[in-house]
Formats: sequence, structure tokens, C-alpha cells
Amino acid sequence: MQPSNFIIPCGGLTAERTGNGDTVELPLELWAGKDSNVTLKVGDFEKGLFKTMSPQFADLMDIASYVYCADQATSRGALDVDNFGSRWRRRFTFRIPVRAPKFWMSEEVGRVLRETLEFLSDDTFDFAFVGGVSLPGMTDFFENLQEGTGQQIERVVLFSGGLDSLAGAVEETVVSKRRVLLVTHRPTSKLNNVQRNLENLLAEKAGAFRPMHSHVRAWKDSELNKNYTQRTRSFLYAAVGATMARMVGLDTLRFYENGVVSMNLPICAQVVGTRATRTTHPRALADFERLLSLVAGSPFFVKNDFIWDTKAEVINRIVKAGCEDLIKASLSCAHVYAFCNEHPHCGTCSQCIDRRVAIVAAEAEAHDPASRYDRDVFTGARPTEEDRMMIASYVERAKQLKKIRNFPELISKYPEVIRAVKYLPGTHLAVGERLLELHRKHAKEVDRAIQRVIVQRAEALHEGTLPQDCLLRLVVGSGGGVSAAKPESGPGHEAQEARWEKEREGPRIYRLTKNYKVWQLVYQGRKALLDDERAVALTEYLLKNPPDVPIHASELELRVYGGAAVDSAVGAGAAVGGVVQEASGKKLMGGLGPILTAELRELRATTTDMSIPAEERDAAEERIKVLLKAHERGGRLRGGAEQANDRVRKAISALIDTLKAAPSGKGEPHITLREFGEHLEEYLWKPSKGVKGRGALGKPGCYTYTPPPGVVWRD
Amino acid sequence: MGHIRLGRLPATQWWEDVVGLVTEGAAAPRVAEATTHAWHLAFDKVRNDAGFREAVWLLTQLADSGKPSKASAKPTGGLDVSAAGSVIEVALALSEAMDRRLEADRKRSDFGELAQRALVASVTEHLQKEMPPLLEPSKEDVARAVRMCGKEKDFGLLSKSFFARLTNECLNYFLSKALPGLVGEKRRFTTTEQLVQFENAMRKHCEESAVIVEDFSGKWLSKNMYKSEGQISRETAEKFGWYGLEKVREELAVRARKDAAK
Repeated sequence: MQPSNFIIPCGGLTAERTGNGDTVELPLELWAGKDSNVTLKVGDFEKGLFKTMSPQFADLMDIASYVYCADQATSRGALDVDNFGSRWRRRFTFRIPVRAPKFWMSEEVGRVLRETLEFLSDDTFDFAFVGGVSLPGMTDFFENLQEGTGQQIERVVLFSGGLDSLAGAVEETVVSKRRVLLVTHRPTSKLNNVQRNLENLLAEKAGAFRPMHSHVRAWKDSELNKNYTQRTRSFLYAAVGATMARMVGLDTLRFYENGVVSMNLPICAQVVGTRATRTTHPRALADFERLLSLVAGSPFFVKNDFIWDTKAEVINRIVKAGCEDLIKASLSCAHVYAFCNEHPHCGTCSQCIDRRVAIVAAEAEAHDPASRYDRDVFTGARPTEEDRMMIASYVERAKQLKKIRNFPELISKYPEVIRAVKYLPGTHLAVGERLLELHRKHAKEVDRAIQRVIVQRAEALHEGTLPQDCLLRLVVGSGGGVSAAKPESGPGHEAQEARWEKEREGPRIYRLTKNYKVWQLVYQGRKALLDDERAVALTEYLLKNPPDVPIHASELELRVYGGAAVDSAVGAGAAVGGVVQEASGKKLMGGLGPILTAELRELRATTTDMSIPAEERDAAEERIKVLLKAHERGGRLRGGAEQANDRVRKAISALIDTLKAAPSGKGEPHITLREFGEHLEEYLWKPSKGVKGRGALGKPGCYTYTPPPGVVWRD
Repeated sequence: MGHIRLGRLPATQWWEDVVGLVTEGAAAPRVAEATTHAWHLAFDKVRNDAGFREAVWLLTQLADSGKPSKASAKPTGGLDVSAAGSVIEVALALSEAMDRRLEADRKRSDFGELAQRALVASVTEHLQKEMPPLLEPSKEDVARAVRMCGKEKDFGLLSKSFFARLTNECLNYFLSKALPGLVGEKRRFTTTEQLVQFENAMRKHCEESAVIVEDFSGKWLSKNMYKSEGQISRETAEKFGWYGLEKVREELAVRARKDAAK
């Protein structure tokens, strides 16, 4: 079975508990030289700007590296349908040596760290921090320190090389003419040339304000590459970026991402939790701020100034700044490991789809040639189901967003949106209006893009020469193409009907079965549901185990609830470890007496101790019944036999009354339940007080069931 | 979009039967029934789900949490909408109450997320319908609508909406791993618009099926508020939740057979 619990001992520490079947141990090492399996290096930073930081920052970078690596080294559930997606969520237990153990072991820091990572990833994190010995200082994270200009840095910006972060860099350096440090992750050396090219082009545009670039290598051994979802990547980025921001004397780190992607509302129902990334979700950024402020020991801010922009608006910023020729050099594709110079974009992943649609909506196609996509987003064939699912869901979401009239309606359709409200500035009403407007703009852009391409490819559409699975054909159809669906017949229909036939219960079938929190009734072959009430359990026992001799209500309760009845009689906690030894035990236990109480308690403990042989446990159970039976004559069990009878009688009578009056929920009587109620009234022997129905034979307060011929109750 | 991870249905007999029905042109009722049969393994895994339990319990607490007497006392479960000035604030309070509880207990799950969606969406829609159509709603409008959720009729309507949405969310959770892939020429849905129509039909089918719980829900609330002296426990609420869900599932099965018999 695929494990979902992971123990991660880091930095040479041993795990506090060993892995077993469902738990895997995964040691990670950042500082063991050639024996390290994790690498975090910050390159090309200016020598003159480097400062030794407080140990908390070095610890933060260690922690973020280990978390990021563990994220990628452990698989999430793939076809996890029959587990209801439970394998998506993993449990991590880290043991990490740190330079400032007292800080990291504080309750507040631990809680904020966990909450930040858990919202970002949907995983569960536990941390044990240990005082590290001879852990490297901040210097060891840095390589290739550069001689620099010595100029003051005004902004630190995370720069992925995609369109949004490019627009952010353009805004800062070209438009606002600020001195900026761009922090870039280098996931693979394959992209070094691409990134260098983009940096050079940006430098040309920025002129005297050319940004400084610092490159982050966060690598691990190849056998640790198991999962590409990387939901904690932005945490690593934020950790490194914040460290560098504080190093240069700033209290703010900047992400640039359009609001639609930041919110990342689900494109279809299966996208639950972090199936959609929360990289720059307003709450994620707020969580980063909380943690980084604690680490810094002073307020620290994490901002995203593009939160109210759509992607097309972000592209327009680049164009307006005269930097449209940089668009071609940017890279958005998620499939970086499949990168090739000829087709840097796959055209099928969510990022490529978003990019291309926004490019067309912004009328910027000239700067992002379609030929650079391995598959044209609008006219390329999509033979795989996954590709069709992605594009169809994307288009469908845009159509739905277009129809939404107000923010409450947006909440009704996409309830996740409400989570962002309190983390955005402004009143809730104002924020709601802006979120609605943002998504409406996005929907219109998707519409506009599709319509533009329809016009451009009208002839091909008309001639039917476009691939049948391309986006245009999925949206527009083929003007006369028919669905392959047959008129509701076929093996699937037959299989369903065969199953129904098999499930059909005959007219002489009677069942009463406990499902989870609900009872399933089959009465004369007809099905109905019953509430999970005490009375049903008592009735079920009588129906399936009709005693030859009517049994008293207290005995019935004992048989149905067994130990629970004894537990109740001898007091809470008596079954396991509970002790009532004082003389007042007599008073507390409702008159059982301390000797009887003690014996019952011991017997009860025996019945629940699985280490004791079954015969002994059964014998203890029998002894309990004998003792209670003997005691009930005195009427002192749980308030007395009379009270037990009263309870059971009321419960069963109420059940019968409810059944006989049951409505179907469609404004009509529920025939099955009513007939069942009448059946119980007729054949369930219970004490009567001058009302219709048979009285108990002989003893008052006794019950049994005498069904008519042919009625046998089954499970 | 940021990165999005989509999944597919497994190639087991039950799920292949579902996809087979869709491919053959089956209407929403039959597809819904087949899906509720196929999902039984998944649902076995979510018995005792904390998120579902919390969502149903919060539904029962809504009206009470709007009372002014709760404003100064620490509200049970962290839900306090006594000062809510808009439907948005009620939705926010509900979502936060669930998040707080599940994050503290660390018991997030997909089923719990679906229940949270259904809770927030159904309450928002229900309250919004009660707001004056032309004027900006006042704090009193919101408070009144919240209070009414404690009455039999309104709770019945709200529950019906909750169970309808939850059933539809669960159906779509599974079906969305297959249906969008069946769009295209010579496939079940020639265009995305046809897929949308099918999904609308499914939603409507769930809404119509959930009528079965409306009357029961209202009466359940009255009875249990009385029995518990206004302090309905999570355990009691959970039983109500499972009963409601099963009842709607039963109705889906009845309607599927009727549809087949036409």
C-alpha cells in the first residue's frame, strides 16, 4: 500500500521512531558534503551586500530546504478515487537540528510554521527541533559572490521568469526605475541559457536600473524525484527571498502574480484543497508575513501588487512599458523537464493554456508566436482525456464566471473564494466586489480570445479541417456534427439493470441492518431508512432474537447495550481504570453496594480485555448477567427495573407512533414505514396499560416478538 | 490557472460501468445512481469524517449563533454571526469556523472540503434570497434571515439545499474525473456546452431528489432542539447528516429506476 506517513530525520539526526508498513523513513542531509542529498545554494549575490544574519534565518533556510525536498521526494495519491482522495494528504514528522532551538521550539513559532505549511500544501507537519552542533553559518549558503556596484537595493522581488514576474520586474526597473534584486529559482541547468537571455534583455530595457540577479539552486538527489506537485515551493522561495531582503535592510518581499491565479478557483469539482496551488493566495502571503515577522523579530511584509490584475492586464503592462519583445523570452510551462528550445511551451498544461489565452486576449500574439508551443492551445489536437479535461474545464469555468451577477452568487458557485476576503485590504463588501470584477474580467478575456481565434480560423472551422479534439472544435463543434451517444442503450445500461434485478428484494424479505449512523429497513421487499435511535436497536434485537420467554426491559437493554449498561450502572470510567472505593460508592452507584460494584467492575474489565482467553471473557459476561439479574429483583439497577421498563416502553412506543405517522417527504404517507409500524404494534409484545395491543405474558415490563408465519428477519 | 492537478477514475468494473452509461447516452438520473453505487468504497473510508460532522453541526447552529446573547459569550464551535452586517460576513464566519476547527484538529479531507463548500454555498444562497431585492440589506435584514434558519420551514429549505449541493458536489467530484474527457466529436458531448447542459441536468436532479428531506429536516430540528434544550451535539447532528445523505441517495435510486421504466 502506498505510504502516506513520513518520518524525516534531517542533518544526521536519527528518527525517534522507526518506519513500519505505512510509515517511511526518509533521511535528508544538507550539510554532509558529498554525502548530502539536498542542496541549497544562493548564487551571484553581491559581496558588498552580504551580511551575517541571525541564526533564525539560517535555520529558516535549512527548514525550507528540507520541507521542499520532502515534498518532492514523497508521492501523493494518483488514482485515489476509492480512498476519497485521502492519499493526497501526507503526514510529515521532521527532526531538524537548528542553531536557535529555543526560538523554534516556542509554541507560537511552531504553530505559525505548521499552519503556514499546512494551508499551502494540505499536508500535516510536525517538527521536533534539536540544538545543532557546528551547523554552518549563512556564508555557506552562498556561492559565486560577485563584485557589485555597491548600490542600495530598493526592492527584492521573486522572479520565476514567467510572464507575471517579468511584468513585475518591468514595472519595478523600467517603469518605476527602482534598484531591484531579483531572486530566481534554477530548477534545472537546462534553463540556464533561457533565464540568462531573459535577464540580459531585461537589463537592456532597464538601462541604468538593470536589476541584480541572484540565483537559487534547490536540488536533491535524482532518486528523490517522486512528486512534481511542489506545493511548498513558494515557502522555500519566501524563506530565501526574505533572508536576502533583510540582508539588504528591507522589510518587504514581493511576489508578482495575477489575481486569478492567486485565487486559483477550482476549474471543476474534483479540484479540492491544494489540487489547485495556493502559491500566492492572499492567506498564504499573510501566513508568510506572520512567520517571517517572527523570524525577523520585527514586522515583515509580503506583497503581491498584481492581485487585482488578470493575466491579460499583466501582459498589457509589459507591452505598455515597451518591453513586448521580452514576452517571447519568458517561460510559463510547468513541464520544465521536457523543455526544448524549439517548443519551450507544451501547450497542454494549465500554465500554457492560461498564458496563451491571455496573450490572445491582450492581442499580443505577435510577441508570443504560436509556433513556440508544441501544441497550439486553440487549434492543436488533444487526443488524451487529461488534455481534453483540462481545456474543457478551463473554458467551462470561464463561462460560469461570466454569468455571475454578484459576490454572494460567486460564493455560492465557488465557496473557496470566501477564504481570501479577510486577507485583502478593504471592507468585506468592497473586497467582494473587486473579486467578482476580477473574475468577470477574466471570463470576458477567455471569451474574447476564443472569439478572436474563431474569426482568424473561420475558414478552417467551416471546412472542418481543424483537428476534431482541438479547443475550437470542443467549444464550437463542427456545425452539424452529431454526438456519438446512442439512444440510451447498450452494455452499460444492461449492466445497471442486471444489478437492479439482483438487488431487488422479494416480497417475503425482511431486513433491519445498521449502516453508519442510519438503519436500513427492508419490509416485504420494500426499502426505507430509519434514524439511528435507541429504540431501533432494541427493536432490532427482538426481531432477530425473539426470546422464547419474554425478557424484562433491563435485560433487553443489557443484551443490546451489553457492557455499556454495566458501565452506566457502575459509573463512568468504571470499565477501564475507574475507581470508586470510598463508602460513598454505595450512594454514587445508585445502591449497588461497594462489594457488588467492585465485582462488577472487575468482571467488566475482563470482558473487554482481549489478552484474556475468549472462554474466560464469556464466563465473565455470563456472571455479570447473573449478578444483575439477581440484583434487579431488588429494583436497584440503574434506578430500578421499573425505570428501565419505563424507558424502553416509551422509546418503543414513540418509535411505533413515529413509524405509523411517517410521511414520505413527498406530501404522502410513507407506506412502508407505516406498515412496519403497524406490524410492530401487532406482533411486538410490550407492556400495555389498557391500550390496544397484546399485554405481556405473565411478567410486567417484559418483551418479546412473535412474528406471523413466513416472517424471518435477516441482516 | 496556477498549477492544477486533475485525476481520473480507476479502471474498476464499477467505474467503467459509470463511464459506459455516460458514453451510451444515459441521462443524469441513471448516471447519478450508478455513481452512488460505484462510490461505496470511497464512502466507507469517510465514515466519521470530521469535516462532514462539523459542516452539518454548524448548519444546526446557525440560527442560534445569530442571537445577540452570543455576542459576549464565547460561542460554541467558534461561530458567531450576531454582528454580521451582510450575507458575506455570515459566509465568512461559517468558513472560518470550519477552518479553525479542522486546522486545530488537523483532520482535513476531500469529503470535508465538499461538505464545507455545500455549507457555505447553501447558506449564502438561502440568506441572499431573503434579502430585499432592490435595497442594500441592513444588519437587521441579515439578523432576521439568520434567526429564521432556526424555524422548521426555513431549516427544512436550508437543509434541502445543503443536501442537494453536497450530493451534487460528491457526484461531480467523481464524474469530473471522466466527463470533461468525453467532450469532442464522436463522443458523448460534442461540445463543452453539451457537457454544461448535462451538469445542469445533474444539479437539477439533485435538487429535485433532495425535496425528500425538506419536511423531515424541519421536524428533526424542532424535535432535537427541544430534546437537547437547544444544545444539539455534534454526534446528533452527524446522525442527521448521514440520514439526510442516505435519504437523497435512496431517492436518486428510485428516480433512476423510474427514468429507466419510461
